Amino acid sequence: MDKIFKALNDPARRALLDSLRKHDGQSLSDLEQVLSLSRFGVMKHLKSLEDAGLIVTRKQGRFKYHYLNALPLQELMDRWVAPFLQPQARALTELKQKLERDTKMGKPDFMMQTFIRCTQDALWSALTEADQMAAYHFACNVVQGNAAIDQPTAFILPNGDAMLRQVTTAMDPKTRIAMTFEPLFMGPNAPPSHMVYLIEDQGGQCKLTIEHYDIAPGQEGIAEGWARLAASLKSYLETGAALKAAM
Amino acid sequence: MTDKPKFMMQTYINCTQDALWDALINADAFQHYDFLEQTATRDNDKVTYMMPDGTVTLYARDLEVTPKTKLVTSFEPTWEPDAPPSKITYEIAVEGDFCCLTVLHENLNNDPSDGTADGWVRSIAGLKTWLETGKPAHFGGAYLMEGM
Repeated sequence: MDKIFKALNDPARRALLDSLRKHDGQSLSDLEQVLSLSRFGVMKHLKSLEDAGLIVTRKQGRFKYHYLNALPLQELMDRWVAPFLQPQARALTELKQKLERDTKMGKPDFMMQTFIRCTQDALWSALTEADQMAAYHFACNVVQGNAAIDQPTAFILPNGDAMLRQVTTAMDPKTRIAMTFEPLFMGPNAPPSHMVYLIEDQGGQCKLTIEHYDIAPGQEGIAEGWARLAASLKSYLETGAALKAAM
Repeated sequence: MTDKPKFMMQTYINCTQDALWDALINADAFQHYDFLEQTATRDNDKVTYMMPDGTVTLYARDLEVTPKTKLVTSFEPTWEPDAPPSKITYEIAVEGDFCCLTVLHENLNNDPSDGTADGWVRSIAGLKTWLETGKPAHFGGAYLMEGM
């Protein structure tokens, strides 16, 4: 530790560190330009920095390149500064992680909303229970697998083929369901995407928001599917009769 | 072609083509599904929309009428007296027992996310509920009215 403070206790050596901070991996000749010192003087300073572990070097052919090594300074920070910063630093780190998690999905490629005259419980059941999905899905009369974390839900066409596969990735009871979206109807190798249902209870009516993220180019037709699904779901919940597409 | 903002939405309604057409062309029907519970009166090709307290909010003039299939109207809100009118197109396509309704709102003077889209989503949801259940539906909510 003495070596670190000693190495730092010189304006020429701090200038060398600054130069490496701006441009890492410089040769001795490069660094000579930084200081108005003899080649030998610069070498001496570099040796002192290297002994303190503040720079590391790598030889390549005739040249030796110098790299900043932040680890010893980080250890100093951890020892004396971190105890003071920790609560704030941790709070900031957590804030950063939260913001990144919440905004990670960015803007949806597709969003639609509708209002349904029903209870929140009824809408939640319709969106999570496979037999209800089968009742209102516009194209599939068979749906396998309730929406449950890490569990697949498969939408089966009348000809027996799976049209769509979804895996539930997150659930907030009665308010939010996040699922993958694997559009098998667009071919076996169609890129998957992911979507979210959001339910807002407005007293006697619910606002349903459908957000679809990372839709691959060429899959714009998904929008029509959502319009059909939402319309049929609304009819199913309000009248008991779904809108099955003629296929 | 224009670069002005536009809004499009589609929904499917379990009703006859005649019933859907009537709901769009007959000004008296409007009060059953508008999200703000507005009423409308028709004077030849001009429809005037009013809040429940009688305040006029909007005029719409028929620009193109193809019975049961297509209706194009102007959209002249009183809150934008100096702005050029925007344009609404309703299209009805019959599909089996139900109808597909497409609403296109073009030449908007503002970003549709500033309220135009929300208004359409609410009113078209109300239209669908009214036509399918026979009960008026106003998906406005008290909280919307408070701000007005």
